[in-house]
Amino acid sequence: MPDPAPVSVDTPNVLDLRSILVTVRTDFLWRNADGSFDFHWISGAGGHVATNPGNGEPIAGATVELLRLHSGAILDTAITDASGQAFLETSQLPDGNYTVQITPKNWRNQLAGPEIAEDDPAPLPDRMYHPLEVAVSLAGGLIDIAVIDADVAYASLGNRIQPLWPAPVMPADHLPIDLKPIWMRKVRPTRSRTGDKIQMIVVHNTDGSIITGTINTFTGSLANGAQYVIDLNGHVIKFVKDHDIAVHAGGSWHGKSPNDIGIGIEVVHKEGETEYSRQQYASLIDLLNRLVNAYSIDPTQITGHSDVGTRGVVTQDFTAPDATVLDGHRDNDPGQVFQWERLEQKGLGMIPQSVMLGDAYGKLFNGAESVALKRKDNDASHTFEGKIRAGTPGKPIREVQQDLAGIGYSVNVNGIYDESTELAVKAFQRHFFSGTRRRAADGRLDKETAQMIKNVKGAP
Amino acid sequence: MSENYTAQPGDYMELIAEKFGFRDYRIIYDHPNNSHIKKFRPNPHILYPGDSIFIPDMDPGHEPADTDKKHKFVLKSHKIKLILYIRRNGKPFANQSYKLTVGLQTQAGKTAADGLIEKDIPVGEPVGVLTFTGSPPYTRKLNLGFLHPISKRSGRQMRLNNLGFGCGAPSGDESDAYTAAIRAFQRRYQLTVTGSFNQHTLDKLRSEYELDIPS
Repeated sequence: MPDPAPVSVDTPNVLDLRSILVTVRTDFLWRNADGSFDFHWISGAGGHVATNPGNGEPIAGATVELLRLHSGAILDTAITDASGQAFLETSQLPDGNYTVQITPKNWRNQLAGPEIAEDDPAPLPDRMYHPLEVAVSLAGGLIDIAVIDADVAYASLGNRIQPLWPAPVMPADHLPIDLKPIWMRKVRPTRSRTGDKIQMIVVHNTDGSIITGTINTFTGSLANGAQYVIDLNGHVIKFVKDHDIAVHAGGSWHGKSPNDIGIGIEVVHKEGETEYSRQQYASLIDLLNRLVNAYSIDPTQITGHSDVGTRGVVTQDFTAPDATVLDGHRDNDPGQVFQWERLEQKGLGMIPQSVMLGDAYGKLFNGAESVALKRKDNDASHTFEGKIRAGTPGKPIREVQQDLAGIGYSVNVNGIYDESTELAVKAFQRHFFSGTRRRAADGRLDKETAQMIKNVKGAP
Repeated sequence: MSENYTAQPGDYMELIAEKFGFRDYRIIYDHPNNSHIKKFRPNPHILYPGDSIFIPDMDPGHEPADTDKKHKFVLKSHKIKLILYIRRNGKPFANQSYKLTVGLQTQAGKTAADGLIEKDIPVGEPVGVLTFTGSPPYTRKLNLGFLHPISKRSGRQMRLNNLGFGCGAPSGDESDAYTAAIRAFQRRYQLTVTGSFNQHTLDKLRSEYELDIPS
């Protein structure tokens, strides 16, 4: 509150009350390269996403404070109303730099990760947010310039109420904020992991170019979900507790359900040829490190959905035991454009070593550079690349199958190059021939693939 | 007995007159011994704490009346007005519902199209509370009669603050904020930007703050 205004009696006075309007919303709105905005608002599907369908979500009950820059003294404080609006009085304030601090009702001082939601008492709130600091320069009590730290992904300036906000801003009396949640509660109840510890992490893409469809599904009443979603700008939202099961991947890894033993991380990305963003990699690596440390997960047990989803499987969901979810194998999830090497450089994921191929796989590749095993090849009949090669000793197909199963892939170990073998090889190729190592993932076991399997499997 | 009175914060001539039992402050203000006050404080409603004011002897006053009858004497009490042009962010805060509490009395009203509030208030109440219930809501304490003369630096700081050119607490001292506020004021009214007061700037501040009393 400003100091009392000294006024005269029986003589005219002017009292110019200065204030700024702060509007706090979640709009999932993005600034394009040309400075224009795209509205990627939440559709309202899924039950409780938006109070105003199609129009984003105002954040009510947030404390908005105006602070002196260095002392941190609170100059005014207000609470956002049902439309996310609050006024801060700026009367009498000298021109200069101030801080606007926004603290929603349910706030955590951490980003989405194992640090939030795990130990909170039930019921968890629908939303949690990271508090936001905006540096503002005031002139005559109006906003001259407003800035958010460049590395903040959970908020941006501008929202549906005032989207086209020129920068630097002319003195304005409106500070529109788009504040994104770090936690969004799924309406459909999830259950906690029972016997199984968290042993792996599965990286997915959403197969959508924007986050909103994923939010609608993941907060909604469908079974599908994942613990985390990483948005285009690297902002991470948590939807399900790490200690609860999310239904994100059928299939199996080391013979177990990735849902039961794994944490799912979805990266917003449309399957195709576009690159994942630098911010998405940075947030993913940061999140993976925190999860690995929090739950003592073996860092090599970080896979893609395509690694675990080699075979279509029918899973039953506990909340609707009669319904079944058919989770077919996924080819492009996260896809060969995903650069696993970026994770490997940080010690995350399966890291290929340099292993001598030597006489492995029945010396099949010794001096035979172009051999490539394919469907219907068979150890028992010594059929390799469709030809009887009686001179090949041992059981190369079984050996490959054992190596793939040892890495974790779901594959029949039967000495026959069957569909499961082909799918596992394809999945392996998509993972390890991604990024700068990229080459065709054809499902055939050639020398390069064989060498890479040995490199990943590591020394015996 | 006559005496010299030292003006206190919040004093104005009506209030001093009432303190000493004068019905009309002009008896004090127009007294020849106060000619210096009249010269330097041309507005009797705006004094400066420390001003020395001569209080003349009171003329007891006589009313002729019959001795065998009952008489009713009505003391004409002084009315003073609070005159405020309310703006928000430089524009008239027009047609806004407000409540004004002075002492025990609360009056409700609506600002005019030019943001004007004009209300009678009792003499001597030092604090008013002005509350706007619309959007945006405001609650502002008013220190009634506490405005310093424009000839004092603190008085100029108070006026700049009230006009929206924030310069912090009106200490009467030079400060960067005060200089910045003067510059902003000069820029706003297209005066030569010097960051200090000259006659032009002073005249402009006076005319922008003390708008003509409406008829």
